[in-house]
Amino acid sequence: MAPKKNSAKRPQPSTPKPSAPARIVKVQSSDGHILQADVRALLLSSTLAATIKGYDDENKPLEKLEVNNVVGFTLKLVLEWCEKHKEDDPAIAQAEKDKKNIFIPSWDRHFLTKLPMGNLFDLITAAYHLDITGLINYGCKTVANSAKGKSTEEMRELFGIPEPWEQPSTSTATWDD
Amino acid sequence: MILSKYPGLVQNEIFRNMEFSELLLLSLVSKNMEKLIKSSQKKRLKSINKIVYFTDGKNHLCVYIPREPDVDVIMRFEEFEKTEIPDFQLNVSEKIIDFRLFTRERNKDFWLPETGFHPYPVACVHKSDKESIIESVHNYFLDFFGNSTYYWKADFFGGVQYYFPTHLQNVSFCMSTYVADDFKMRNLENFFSSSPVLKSVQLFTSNSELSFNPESKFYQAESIDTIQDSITIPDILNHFQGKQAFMECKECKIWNLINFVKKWKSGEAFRKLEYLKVTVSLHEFNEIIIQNIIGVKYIDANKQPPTHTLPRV
Repeated sequence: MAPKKNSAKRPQPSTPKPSAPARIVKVQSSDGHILQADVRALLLSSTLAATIKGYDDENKPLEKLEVNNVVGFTLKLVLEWCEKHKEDDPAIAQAEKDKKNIFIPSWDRHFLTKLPMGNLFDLITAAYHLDITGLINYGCKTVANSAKGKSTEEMRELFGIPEPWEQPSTSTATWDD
Repeated sequence: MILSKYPGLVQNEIFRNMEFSELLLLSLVSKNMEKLIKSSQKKRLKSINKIVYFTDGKNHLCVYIPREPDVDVIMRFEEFEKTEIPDFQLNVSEKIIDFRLFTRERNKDFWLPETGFHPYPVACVHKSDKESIIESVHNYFLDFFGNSTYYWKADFFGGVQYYFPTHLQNVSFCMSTYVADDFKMRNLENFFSSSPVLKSVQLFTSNSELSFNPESKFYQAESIDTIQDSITIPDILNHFQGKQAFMECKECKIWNLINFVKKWKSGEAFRKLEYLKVTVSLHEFNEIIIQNIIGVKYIDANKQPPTHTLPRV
């Protein structure tokens, strides 16, 4: 019997379906940048999906969505990720959420690992605020992977952990040892 | 990136994606990180019910969490010369211990996270300080992993002096070995006489002459698991003082077994024994006759049978 291929268990993007013409809307970041996005991509964010539904239910024209807690640079990354995944079945991300071993597809691995840690941090935080399950899954797995094989010194640097004799570096940090 | 500034849900998700060895090392970096991991991963850490120290009596001692089909190594101990330079030091239960990274000797072709391998910290043990280093690490495990059951498992090879840290809290001692035909029984007897009473012994042998001193601590083990070609049932069963025995052989003298079961049933001997399983692969006896001789009670198929389950030691 031929061995089962691992890829059978991996998330696969759903088969592209013949779809309606893209519905493009403007999205404004907290620092005033205005970007454009396909509504299907924005629906990956539960937060934005609720807003869009509100407009649709009231038959109000949706011209611009304001995202008040994400800056332009990060919002561009969020939209790039959502655009890539707009055809995905949302159930995949939900199923992945509870898995012990999340498999990161190669496009996402490349997209996330090329980012400097600070940008990855902002992207995951934005994904959290916008409630984008798939992006949270892959982002967190990427951060966890980045700690593999690191010395304690490298871990301190990677995760911003102060030395025992140092004070917290920012007012919001909770470290006190 | 400051991990402490992430929302709690994101922190949980990052920790959830880390292996136990990585969480352990990260927890040792800072006391607050330790608190954060312990509270965020409480359920996961609590789900570990078994942690094993595995030693071959030489220079190798590793700690792992059994996980089917493999194991998760969380730390290794290695003898270190004072002249060698460690990669970093950590405060483990108020003791400063030298560590080095496993990656120093990592085989890049096979031992990659992508192939299922996860690096783990290696504690550098100076001979003079071995006992206190192991004790500090163990105390940290007790605090970090909580109420898991800890086993110190010796993989026995002849002629090696084994170390048993009997002062460690909450640790049961076990051994496993393969006894070949040319094996020196004296070495094995020495092992049992120098060891504490063992929780479990696994013994695999092709040596049909295998026989222990009646006073041997082998017979005091709580559980024995033997695989022999020709079982030395009279020897093992007549002296065994533990609770559970699992014995497998190709052939045996059936009267030895019958006499044993009769003595056990009558309460004449083996009062501690709770569970016995003997598997004879090449038997030529009639099971019904044997069951009648030892007085097996038959339960009416229409009645609810009594249930009595014992956990395997």
